[in-house]
Amino acid sequence: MAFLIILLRLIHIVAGAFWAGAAVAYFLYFEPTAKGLGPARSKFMQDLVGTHRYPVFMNTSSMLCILAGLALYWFSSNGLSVAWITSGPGLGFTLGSLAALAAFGIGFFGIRPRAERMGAVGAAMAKAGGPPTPEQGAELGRLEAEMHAFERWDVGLLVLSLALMAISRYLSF
Amino acid sequence: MKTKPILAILLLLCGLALAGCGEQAGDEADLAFSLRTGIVEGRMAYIGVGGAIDGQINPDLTVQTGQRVRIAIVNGDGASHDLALPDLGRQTPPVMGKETAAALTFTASETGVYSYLCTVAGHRQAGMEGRLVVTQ
Repeated sequence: MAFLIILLRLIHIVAGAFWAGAAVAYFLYFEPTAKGLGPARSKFMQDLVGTHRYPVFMNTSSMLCILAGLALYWFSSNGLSVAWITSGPGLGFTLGSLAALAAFGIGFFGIRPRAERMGAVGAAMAKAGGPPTPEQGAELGRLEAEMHAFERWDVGLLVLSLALMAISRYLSF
Repeated sequence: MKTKPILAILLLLCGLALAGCGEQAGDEADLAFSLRTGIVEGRMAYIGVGGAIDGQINPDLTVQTGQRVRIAIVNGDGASHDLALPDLGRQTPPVMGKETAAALTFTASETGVYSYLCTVAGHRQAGMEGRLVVTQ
């Protein structure tokens, strides 16, 4: 059975690294790069979302991380023992888990639909073959602003979760 | 050519699985203790099984110097546990799943009071800690 714990930790940590790494890379590098592309931005977003399936990667890695994490939480907490949850490590892992779940909710219900909409608008623009219409331009601007606000919270919560997960086992109270 | 990495990964996984099987040989002892994991009054605990420690919560395990001692743990609650003697550098493999068991064996060489505990994060703080008392 120790093999199961090893497998769960492997999935949890690798998927978590992919999830947080992709979120941070998008926030710090992809998005600013896309902004600097000007009219080619919609093509970049369309490729990222449609061709390279960035949302699928994010959904898969985050779901795997969370499912493995929930199983590890169950086994570690001895079926949600209050004594464990209120211990130093238990509190750290619990708060870290809640931060990650909140980040997942923001990503799934906030960022994902907007990224897909941006990809769809980009595809429509590519099909029309001209510059964006005023409506398309306005929609892209609104989506961009909303996504940026969500990403800021998403990345902040993921970093908080990572930090708590990293130090929890050393909280000795 | 692609089978070699797959074979290597399979061998690694088998090795990891076998490593969790616990001590099976060379663990004859002068004195043996058995502890069962569980939850008592909302706290995690080792519960003594048999002999003078039967039913005791995190019992003191008293031994004499020179004795070969075996401490076995049986998983009574299904969570992941182990038992370690950090001061003596000894630790059982993890036990996970109800009724799985593991043991460690050592020779008590120096008098003193040593902690035994579960190394799974938070379990010591949640109650899984007791004392090994080595007397003359």
